[in-house]
Formats: sequence, C-alpha cells, structure tokens
Amino acid sequence: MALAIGAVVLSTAALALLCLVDPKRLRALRRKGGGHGGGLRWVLVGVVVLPGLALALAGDGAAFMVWLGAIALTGWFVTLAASPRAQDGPQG
Amino acid sequence: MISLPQRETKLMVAVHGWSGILLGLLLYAVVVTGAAAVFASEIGIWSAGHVGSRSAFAQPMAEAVRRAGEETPAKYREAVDLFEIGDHELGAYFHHHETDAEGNLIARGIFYAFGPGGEIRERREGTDEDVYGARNDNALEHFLVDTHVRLHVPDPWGLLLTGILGLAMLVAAISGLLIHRHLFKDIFTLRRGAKPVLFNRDRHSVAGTWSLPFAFVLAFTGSFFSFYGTVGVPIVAMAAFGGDVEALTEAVYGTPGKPDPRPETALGLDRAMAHAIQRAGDVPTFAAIENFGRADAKLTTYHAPAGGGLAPVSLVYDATDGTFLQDKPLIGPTPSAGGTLAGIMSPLHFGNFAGMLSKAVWFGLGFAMSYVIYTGLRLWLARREAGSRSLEWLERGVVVVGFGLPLALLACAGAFFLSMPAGTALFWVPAGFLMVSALAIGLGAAWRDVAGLAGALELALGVVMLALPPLRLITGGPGWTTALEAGQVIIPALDLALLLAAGWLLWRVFGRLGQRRSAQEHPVLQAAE
Repeated sequence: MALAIGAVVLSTAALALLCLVDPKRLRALRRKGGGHGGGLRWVLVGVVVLPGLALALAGDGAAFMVWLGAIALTGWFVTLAASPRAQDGPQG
Repeated sequence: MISLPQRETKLMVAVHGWSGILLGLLLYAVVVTGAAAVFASEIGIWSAGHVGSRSAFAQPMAEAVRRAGEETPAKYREAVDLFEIGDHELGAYFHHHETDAEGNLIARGIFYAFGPGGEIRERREGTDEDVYGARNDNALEHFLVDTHVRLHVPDPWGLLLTGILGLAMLVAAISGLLIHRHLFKDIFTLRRGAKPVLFNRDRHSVAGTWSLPFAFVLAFTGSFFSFYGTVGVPIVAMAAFGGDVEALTEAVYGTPGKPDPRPETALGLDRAMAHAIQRAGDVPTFAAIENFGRADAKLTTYHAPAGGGLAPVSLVYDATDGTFLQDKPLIGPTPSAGGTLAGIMSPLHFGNFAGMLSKAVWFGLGFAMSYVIYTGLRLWLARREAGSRSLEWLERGVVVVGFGLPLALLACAGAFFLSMPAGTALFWVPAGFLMVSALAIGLGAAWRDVAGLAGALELALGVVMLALPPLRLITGGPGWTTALEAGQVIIPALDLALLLAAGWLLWRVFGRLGQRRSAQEHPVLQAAE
C-alpha cells in the first residue's frame, strides 16, 4: 500500500496548490488577483489525477480505490484548512 | 456542468430537499453507525479486551473438528461452518438446512466452541439465528452492526427500510449533482463568515461534492445488500426454482461435483488451511465444509481481497486429504462478470479490501457523508428560518439526533464496560442507548436556545470519549503494555483515537466559550474588529 500512500501525498500536494490559486475562492476572500491562468490549473489537475490513473493502469484496483477515497477526504480537508475561520461565523 | 432548465432545476431542488428532510434523520443514523461499523471487528476486540493475535485458522483444528463431528448426529453433518469467536477461538456449527413455519430457509444444528487446546468448551443446539446472534462478549459490536443494517426493526422490514434509505441517498446524490451548476468551480469555496444560508450551503456542497462518487458507491452497495435477501433471492427463487430457496442457494453458491456418500474422515483440514493461508496471503475470515464425514466432503475458505484485487478470494479443497481443487467465484462454478461484480460489492461497501488503510479511508468517507446529511438538514432549515419560527422543533430535532446519536452510541460502550463482567451486556447495551437517547431528547426539549443545546451535546460527546479509555481499564480491560506485548495494537490505537477526538471536541467547545466570553467582556473591541 506504499504506492497508494505515495499517490495520495502527491495528489494532495497538487490539490493544495490548486486550492490556493483557485479564482472563485480568492474572489470569495476578496483577495486581489483572479488566481492563476487556466494553463497552470490544468497542469495541477493533471498532477492530481495522474497518480490514480497510474494505479488504475497498473491494475492495482485496491490501491486505486484507496487513492480515490483518500483524495476525496484530503480535498475536503484542504478546503476546510484554506478557508479562514471567521470570528462571527455561524456555529453548530 | 449539467445545465437544466429553470423548471426542472426547481423540481430537482424540491426532490433533493424533501427526500432529505423526510428521510434525512434516519439516513443519518444509518450512515453514522455505518461509519463506526467499518471498524466493527476492531471495536469488538477493543471492547471485549481480546489480546490474542493468532487466528484459530492458523492453528491445528482437524482433530478438534473430527471429535466434534463424532458426537454430532448424522443429520447435522450436512454442512459445517468454521469461524472465530471470542479471543481468536474456534467455533464450529454442524447443521442442516430446513424451511421454518413461515417458509424461510434456516439452518439448524449443533454449535461447538473450542478452547485453546482444542477441547470442547461449549456445546449448544440451535438455529443459525441463535448461533450468529449477539453474545455477552460481542454485544457492543453486534448492537452497532444491527443498528446500521436494520435499525433494530425486525426482518424483513428493517432491511427493506435501510434499502429504501440507500435509494433515498442515491436520489439525493443524483439530484444534488443535477442542481449544482458550478460543481467544480465551487469545490474550494467555503465562506465561513458569510450569512447562515450561504455558510450552510457552502459547507454542505463542498463536503457533498468531494464525497459524491462515494455517495453513489456506498448507497448502491448498501441498497444491494438490503434488497438482496429480502427481494432479489425470493424473486429469482420464484422465477427459476419454483420458490425453492435451498435449490437456488445450492445452484448459485454450492460446489458442484459427483455425490459420493461413502464415509470418510475429514483429515485434510490442517493441510488445506496451511495451503489456503499461503495462497491467499492471509487467514480466512470464514470457512465451510460441505458433506462432512463423506468421501465427497469439500472445504471452502473465504478470504479478504488480496494482491491488489478488490474481489474476495474463495478456495475449494478436498476436505478428506486437503488437496487444492479450485479458486471459486462468489457466484456459480466458473468466473463471470456477474460473479465478480457481486464479489466486489462487499469490499466496496465495507472498505475491507486493503487492511486498516482502506478501513480508515472508508470510515472518513462515512464521516463525510454524515456531515453532508447533517449540514443539508441545517441548510434546509436555515433557508426557512426567516419565514417561520414553527420549525424550531425540527431544528432542535436535527441537533438532538446529530449530536445525541453519536453520544448514545458512545454511552453503549460505557454500558458495555460496566455490564460485561457481570454477563449482562446484552441487556445494558441497548438500555444504555435508550437512556442516553432519552436524556438527549429531554435536553433538546428543555434547553433555552439551539446553539447552546448543540454546544452542550458536543461537550458531553467530548467528555464521554475522554472517559471511555479509563473506564475500560477500571472495569478490567487490558492495559496498553499487556496488549502491545501480546501483539495487539488495536486496543491502544482505539483508545488513542478516542482521546484525540475528545481533545478536538473539547478544544472546539472551550474555544467557542472563550470567544463568547471575550465578546461579552470587550464588546466595543469586538465590534471594531
């Protein structure tokens, strides 16, 4: 399963970068600059997807499913971590 | 993304919202218990304090099974189930199949539990329901799984109910996909400081989008399991086997071969087990012998998926001499697409295809689904908050179920620790659940404001999580040193997980309290900020 873990780490790193340059998120934060251009974002999308694709092509179904499930979780966590905690945000 | 006309979008929003609000709380109960049930066997080990780490299947068993077979009436030697019970001890259920008064196919026979030296420790006659039902030492694990599988509603209604809930989850996932026009554009957008409707919408849609593929997978596979025995099998039996479920079971799952009723001892069990463990790369999770005591006796071993595959492994042996016969597909005698599809349903639902790693990921996905359901319900309420105060009871209900259900499940663990030594866990586990549920409902009705209620229940969750590991030790559970010396890492790992989760919950609760106190002490500064 070391391969699956490596693939998740690589994809998560690319996801984190993708999140940081995401134009909609930056607009919502009212930060200047509309994020990076489409070219960089597509490259990052490729880096996110590539490890999973490699696992699938290698026929390692278990590692592929672990990767798919794990990046669903790490993508969510990255989004949570990248959204600043508002002091007056609703709770519960 | 998919762009529907306005009228269809409105219809889909209504379908998504109403399916969620009508079945959401029950679905939440099924998903929360499902997430915990991913670790059901680990919870069983942790709660009962089992420190054994060597499987019964990895130890000689042929002699013990032979002796049990000798004292079993011939009518019950039609089949033998072999499985682990308690702390890696061997259980053998000699049985035959029959149809009960209500027309259901059941097994009846004699169950033997063997001690570590292969001696018969327990001998009990009963049906499969008696043998595989809850016991004092697995009451917690069994309660958890039963809540997830049938919400404690009697068969077949409980299974049908959870099957319908699975379909409702599928409907919610599909309608959610159709109504969310900017699925990928919004995937990183979470506005915590926004107004309640927008904030609830963001947290629901972000978690929902990330976990969407698994909402389909888990809902579909869950419905498959619910409807398989209650609807699928009776229909196929009626259509192709004249209603004979036993014939259907034999045709679909049985091992074909020429009948040979000559008496012969099953001497090959140990040889076959050793080969099966080597071939599958792990001990079986279950094994079964057909025609025990006959020359045509066959042993089938069932293993978790191995070698990067998703389909479980089944191996067939000649039980008399242990000769390997074939790799057996789940359905039918030869491999087929349908058999493989049916085979991967279970690993895809339970996440048990790559050891602890896949289980941990599946647990996380279950948690994400629960979060999506809870935030979906809060969003539905937030959208209607301005227009109606009469929905406050529903908002309280959502908070009571949202936090009260995990609290009641944790209380079950506490009740288990206190009652297991006295042998009364089968009564106190559900009783503890009901008592804490009633307490949460009472708090829900009495608490002045909904936010305070949520905070109080969250605090209670953290406190109970913090209390469980010491309670386990006080009531006689093994310590970390004892467990680790025996090679059992599950006990300290679960203790640690509970303590970390408790720390996170208490940090959240006290962080919010600190913020509130600070706002009360320095209202001018807060306003200026």
